[in-house]
Amino acid sequence: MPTWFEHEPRNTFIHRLNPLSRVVLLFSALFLMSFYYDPYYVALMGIIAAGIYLVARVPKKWILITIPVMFYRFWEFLIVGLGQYDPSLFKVWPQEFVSRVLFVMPIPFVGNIPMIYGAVMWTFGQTFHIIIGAAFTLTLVYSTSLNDYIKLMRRFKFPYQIIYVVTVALKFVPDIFRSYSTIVKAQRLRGWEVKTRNPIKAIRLAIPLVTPLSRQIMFYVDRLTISSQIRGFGATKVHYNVKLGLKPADYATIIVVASLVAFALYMLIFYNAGIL
Amino acid sequence: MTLIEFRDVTFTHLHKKNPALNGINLKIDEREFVALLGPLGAGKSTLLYSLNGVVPHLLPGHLNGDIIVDGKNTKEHDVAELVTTVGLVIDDPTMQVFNLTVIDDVEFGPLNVGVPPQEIPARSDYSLSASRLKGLETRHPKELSGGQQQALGLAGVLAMRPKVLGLDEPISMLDPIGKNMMLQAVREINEKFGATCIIAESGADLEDVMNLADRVIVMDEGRILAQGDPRVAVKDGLLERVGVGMPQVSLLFHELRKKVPDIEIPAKLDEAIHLLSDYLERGVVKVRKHRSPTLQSRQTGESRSYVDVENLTFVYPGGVKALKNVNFQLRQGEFTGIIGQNGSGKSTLAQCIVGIYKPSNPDAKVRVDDVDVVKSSIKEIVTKVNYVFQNPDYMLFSKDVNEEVGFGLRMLDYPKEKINEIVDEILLLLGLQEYKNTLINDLPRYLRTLVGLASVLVLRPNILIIDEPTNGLDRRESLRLLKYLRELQGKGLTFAIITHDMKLVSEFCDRVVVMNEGTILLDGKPAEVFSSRDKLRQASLKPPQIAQLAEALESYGVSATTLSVDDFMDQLDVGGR
Repeated sequence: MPTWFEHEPRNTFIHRLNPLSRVVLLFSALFLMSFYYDPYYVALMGIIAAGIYLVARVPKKWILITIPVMFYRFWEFLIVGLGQYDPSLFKVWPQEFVSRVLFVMPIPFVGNIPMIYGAVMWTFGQTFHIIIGAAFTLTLVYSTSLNDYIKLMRRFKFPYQIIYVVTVALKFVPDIFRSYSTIVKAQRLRGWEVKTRNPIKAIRLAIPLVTPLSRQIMFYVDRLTISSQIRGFGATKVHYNVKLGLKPADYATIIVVASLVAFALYMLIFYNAGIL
Repeated sequence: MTLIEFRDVTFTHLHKKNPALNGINLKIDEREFVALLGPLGAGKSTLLYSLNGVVPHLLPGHLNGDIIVDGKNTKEHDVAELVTTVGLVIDDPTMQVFNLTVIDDVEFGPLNVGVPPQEIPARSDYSLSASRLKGLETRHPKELSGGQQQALGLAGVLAMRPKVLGLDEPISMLDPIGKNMMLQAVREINEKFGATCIIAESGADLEDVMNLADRVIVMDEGRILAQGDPRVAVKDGLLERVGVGMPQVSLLFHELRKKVPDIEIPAKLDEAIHLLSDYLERGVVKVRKHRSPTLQSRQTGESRSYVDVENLTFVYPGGVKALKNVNFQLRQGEFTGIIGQNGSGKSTLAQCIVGIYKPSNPDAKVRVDDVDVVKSSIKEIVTKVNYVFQNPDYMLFSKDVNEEVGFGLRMLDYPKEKINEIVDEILLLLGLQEYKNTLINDLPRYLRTLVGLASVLVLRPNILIIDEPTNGLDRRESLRLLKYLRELQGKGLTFAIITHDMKLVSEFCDRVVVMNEGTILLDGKPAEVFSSRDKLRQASLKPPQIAQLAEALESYGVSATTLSVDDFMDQLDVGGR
């Protein structure tokens, strides 16, 4: 049974694609998404991300882990958003709309700062980028095996160090999640539970998890280094041409994605499509 | 022809005082099958890791002397250069498996060392055949049995076509049939493909390893104490003295030698069968007609059932059905051994009993001391029945032993004075009082296991289920721990152990439960269970070596339910004694 953030071989359309097509598809989506703040475009990217996520049958619980991250970063974006009180920063949406004030925040030594609608849209856009980006990334993780990455990176002559980091990270994360899950079970059997809203106490209660986990990570990193070396990792710098082996579906995907990206960029550059 | 040579090698790990290898002089020839025997800390792993340059290139330290492998001095060649000469299989196969399908993982090594792509399929094919993994190419490694996972670790190394195969306790985590499968695969690689095999072992699988070895090397404290034919290690009890323990057949013959002085001491089961049948035929040894009372199974008084499991089914979120309508009881006062192959449902059952997992079927009943586990929180259960994970390092986090053991009571809001009182009591019970203020990080594995046990026992559960309590311990430490548990049982505690060590189960348990594919296949006294050979085979299990000897000599009148050397000796009449 796969654990968190681990590839699983499945027979979905996304899994069947060549890793290169998958990388092109998912990186293009991430690239475009980074420009879009217009709620309509963000929603469109969200629908695409959800569609790809569902087609690849990525476990739904994986995406839930981004919710606390979104929650945390929302406040950070909100603070940055407060700095965008000048409506002229927003070129596409009508000025009378973006300049409307949602609330005014009194800030000591600075004065009253208005939170305008344009800044609110920017804040929500940034926040939703997290979950959309995570959906694309998790789809890539779930549908792509370690060997796929290595072959692809070798094909494009990536430096050995980068290949090594990717290899180790892809093995490390799921294994550490397994250890974490066992540690939680072991401590619960000793009566451990988080039953406080006091953040100081909560940090103290995390120690029974964090300490064994840190020990496991240190031990694991040592073992992983040895294991990867005895499997010959980095034994040679010979680069040979790995055949990409693209199928018609891959060519179709790459052509469609490339065309869409080109069109989207054209619209973005010349018609400001997607920005606020 | 000599393939490996150690010339006066001494190696001390960085920041360590005592050398891990001390004055090693050793030659190993091509095609040899060598068993490297010694307790934990003897230097076996360091010796194996020094063959492919992990020592000193990745595990730094001070290396004196020279290690020459296939003409290469390991000081001058790093792991990357030696990896195609020496393949190493470590004790935890999951660490060595990087990929998500069997075939991807087997191809990983050749891909890394730059084998031309057109040559890789042939290599994979060879490795998969030799490791008996043909037909499983597209499987996820986690879907394989423990034996198959370990075989995958082996296949990944074989695909690099090494001349030397080093195996560091490669079967420690396997069920008996998995162990057998793995060792047979290694033997085949040695015989058919000419690889030199060196296998390290610290006791639990001694019999299996010695059965295959052409030569043994006995190590302790970084030194080689003896080497040669396997009989060298058993003739004067050397293995027992260093703490690895002796094969049961060797122990039996040592007992016989007390009565027949010139008797040979065999190291392997086949030799023992041959020798003993010869003695029986020649009348040197006779089988008594009536079994002595000690041969009867250990009897325990029937006590009330404390844990009751009815119709328990458990399905993991991924759809794997781990338990299928299991009915099971644990009674107070029993010492139960739960055995079965990897993935048979042993740990899942234990975790359902303590409430970590809830049953997948609504009609299941899991009751502990008449408390419904399904409807209760874990906190309500932990003081009645508890479970200890196999690696104590998953739970230990405090600075010292006293703080660690008291943690559970602090979580249950016990007053400070009461905590101190109970902790002292438990430390005394487990003989840990002298370590009360010792730092956890300074404790050896055996003591960490005991501290882990104490930190759960402090909650005073009536029944404690321990998963692989002897994992990571050598034979001497395993026996110490089990004897301890037995003593504690005498003081009113009840234990159930989940283990793959059939020898320990036969020596210490009152009751044996055999699980297979999520069901309970056998449940009874050790003698009954271990004499059900067909069902044991079905569950990928085999009885301890002494029972196998008894089975082989059943035609001479030896009881097939024999489970210990003492039982065996009780049946033998040696020169009228």
